[in-house]
Amino acid sequence: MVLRLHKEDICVKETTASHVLLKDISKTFGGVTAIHELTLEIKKGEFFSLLGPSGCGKTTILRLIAGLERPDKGNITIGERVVAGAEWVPPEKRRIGLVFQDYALFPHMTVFKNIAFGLTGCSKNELKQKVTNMLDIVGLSDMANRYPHELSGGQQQRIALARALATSPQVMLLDEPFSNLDADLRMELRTETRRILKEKGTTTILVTHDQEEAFSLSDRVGVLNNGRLEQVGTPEEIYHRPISRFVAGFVGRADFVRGRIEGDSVVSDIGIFPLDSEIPQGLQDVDIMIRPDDVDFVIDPKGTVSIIEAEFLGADIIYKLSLPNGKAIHSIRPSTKIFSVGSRVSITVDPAHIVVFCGEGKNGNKQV
Amino acid sequence: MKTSFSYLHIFAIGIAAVAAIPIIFTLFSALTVEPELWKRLYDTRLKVILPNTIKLLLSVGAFTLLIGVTAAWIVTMYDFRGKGIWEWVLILPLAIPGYVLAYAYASIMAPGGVAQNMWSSVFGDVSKMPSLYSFCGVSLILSLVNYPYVYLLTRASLLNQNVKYHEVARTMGVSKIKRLWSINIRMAYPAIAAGVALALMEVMADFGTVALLRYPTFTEAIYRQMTARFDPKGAAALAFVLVGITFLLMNLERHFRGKRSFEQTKGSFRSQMPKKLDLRRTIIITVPILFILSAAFFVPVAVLINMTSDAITKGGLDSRFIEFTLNTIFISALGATTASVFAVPIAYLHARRQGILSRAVYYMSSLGYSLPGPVIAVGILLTAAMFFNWLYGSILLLLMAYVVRFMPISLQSQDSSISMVSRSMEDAARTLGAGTWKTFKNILFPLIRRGILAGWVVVFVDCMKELPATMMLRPLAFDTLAVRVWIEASEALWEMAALPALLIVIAGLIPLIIIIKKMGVQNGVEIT
Repeated sequence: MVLRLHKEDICVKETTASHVLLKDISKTFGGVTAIHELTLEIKKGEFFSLLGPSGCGKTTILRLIAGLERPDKGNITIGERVVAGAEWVPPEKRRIGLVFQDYALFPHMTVFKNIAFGLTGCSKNELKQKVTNMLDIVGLSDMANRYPHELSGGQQQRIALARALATSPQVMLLDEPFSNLDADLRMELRTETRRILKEKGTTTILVTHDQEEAFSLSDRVGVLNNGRLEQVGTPEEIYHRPISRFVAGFVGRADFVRGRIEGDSVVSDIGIFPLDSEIPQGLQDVDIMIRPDDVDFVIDPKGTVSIIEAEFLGADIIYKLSLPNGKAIHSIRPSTKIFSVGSRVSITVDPAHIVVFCGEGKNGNKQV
Repeated sequence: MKTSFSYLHIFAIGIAAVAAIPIIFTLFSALTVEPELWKRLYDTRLKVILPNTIKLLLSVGAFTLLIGVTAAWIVTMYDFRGKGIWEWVLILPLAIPGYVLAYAYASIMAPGGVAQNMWSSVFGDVSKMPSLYSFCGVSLILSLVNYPYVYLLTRASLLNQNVKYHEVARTMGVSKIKRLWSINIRMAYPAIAAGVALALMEVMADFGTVALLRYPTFTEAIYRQMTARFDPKGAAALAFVLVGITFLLMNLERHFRGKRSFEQTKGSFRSQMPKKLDLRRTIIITVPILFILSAAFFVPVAVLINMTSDAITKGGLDSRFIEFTLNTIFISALGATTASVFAVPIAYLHARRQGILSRAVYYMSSLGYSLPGPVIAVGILLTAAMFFNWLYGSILLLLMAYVVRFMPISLQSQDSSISMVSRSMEDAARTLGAGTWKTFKNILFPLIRRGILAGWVVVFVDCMKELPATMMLRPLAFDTLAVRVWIEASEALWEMAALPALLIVIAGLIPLIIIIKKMGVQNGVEIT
């Protein structure tokens, strides 16, 4: 049973014109389904992320859009043009840019030649000017004569971006471009990449398995699982109103607490929460999604809840709390004050959004 | 990528057909041989050559195993003065074709030769001197030429063994002897077996040594059936049996090579620390190495140099010699270039467009490498007689034989170079607007050029050394260096053969230097 009473209350910040459109796309590799009847629309100028665990098919979608794979079924449209399905446009004619996970810089060419590779049909001066311009944009003006192996990982990533941008693509595809970088550099390059692409107004599709990355960069995120799109929405929607248990669990820690519908509220061991929209008739038993940041507690020797584990994360600590019914939920608290394992506490749960899932294991969801 | 049929496929299929048809044709014509002919062949040929071949395989197998494993063990387990040199020099016998080694020894053991003179001054009676023209002689020569296969594979395997298995065994309290046996040797098993199988395949393919030393085996029988009796059917029948045995050996080798993957170690790799030896032990251990090397390399090379200088002073460097040399360079360069060019689409399809078709084409084109030269020559002659008689006696048939036999080398070298180039490199070029051809020309080709060149050099040298197919297919009066060595040596005109033989050995050293360089790089890291 799937309940989907999703309220579209987020206004779209970009122009509404669709730029990349995948319609009923299927793709199998040697009998294994990679993508199953997937439909996805990305708007012009949008920064869109495809988020999912490894093997979910996200890179395949990117390669399908790039034309490096042919879909078995369905149509892909870029701009006004059908590029796969009814017609076939090879990758070199699609005007897309692709930054690879391993950057794929040509090892036998200098940085200059790498960036100039896609620039055809312009004079020597023009070429020089364009490459210099690209190097300025990524802040590596003095690296033109280096070879890729003489660059650091971060520099290689920037050059890969510059090379992809040089041809002024309509659509930029990024295949986990930050995953090979150190944490510090990753943060820096993410923001910089987004800034550059937003300034140019390039429609961008990023593939990543890191929800933090997807959330911090994207206008919208699509969560993929097993070749199917589970949910598409803004980062806030995805985090606070996940449409399935998979999404709820994949984009952050989530506990599920049994609850019972009574009138306009859902009643549970940890509190009574108001529901403010319609739910199907007859539904009684539900699971309420609780995020660790929804749970607060104070030391209370008479409390019925106890701390059974503490996971120190640096700035925060995640406590595992044991409820009287034997279940556990998590609470995240700043590490400025440390509570010891074994303490008795009383909890207050104050979710910003109540998300309930019906039945055991079903992908039903209800938002309030 | 969905396999899209293209001109590339058509080209590749065409080449694969050229490579495979002669072989398939031979096998088919062997199947149509009447029982009477089989019986006659058995009585006149097989009855002799079958036991001869089996005896040879067994003895060469045992000898190469002994020499190869001992040498590999010494250079990997011990650290001693001169090891750095011996490690590489032990490979050099590969540069000497069997017929050259046989000829070098035959020349000094002949009346008036150094060895015979020494024998008579020490023992007196020359008639009691062991003859090279015997089972023992052939067996020793072929072992000395082919032990490096066992040595190379065993050495690589021993070097690749991670010391952590030893450490684990130690913490479990296993004794040293048991560790050496149950870890080092057992883990090297597949490599040793693969090496012996390779050496034995070379024995099956050898023509020059057995023919020169008059020890009849399959290759020699096929050659005589074809050239002296003009009996293509009989030759095809003999080739059929020979191919059967070779395929058995090849599958053995494949089987063991597949198993070698279990020695690849993931994660941290440290190889075993070789044990340092003092001076006395260094001498003890160097003596057997020197003995093998003298027999397999130093003595024959010294003999060749000595005879060459005699020959030159007697005017051996004449215009005829220059003609053979130019012939050889011409046909070998043509063969290597054709093989390299033809291999490109096949290797590309195999590495980049996975599919049954690409694999079938690759496999068909690789058939020739496991086949002895005479078999390929018979196949080509049969095919030519059937379809293009007018080609008979032209250089194209010889060229075809070289391509069939040696293109698999180019294929292998190109295939592995392409696999080492990240696929995203070509994908990147495509998304940047480059079409298939520009992507190949500007990205892939520059990156695999060295692999193509390395394959070219190896094929060039192999064409130079090739004897049986060249003898059977060459145009009239088109002599190569290899052919000259064989003819002069069979006539016991020892000095006449020296200069071409020496040239062949020198050329043979070139691909070995490439191999040694590659191995030198690999010494630092863990991969085979």
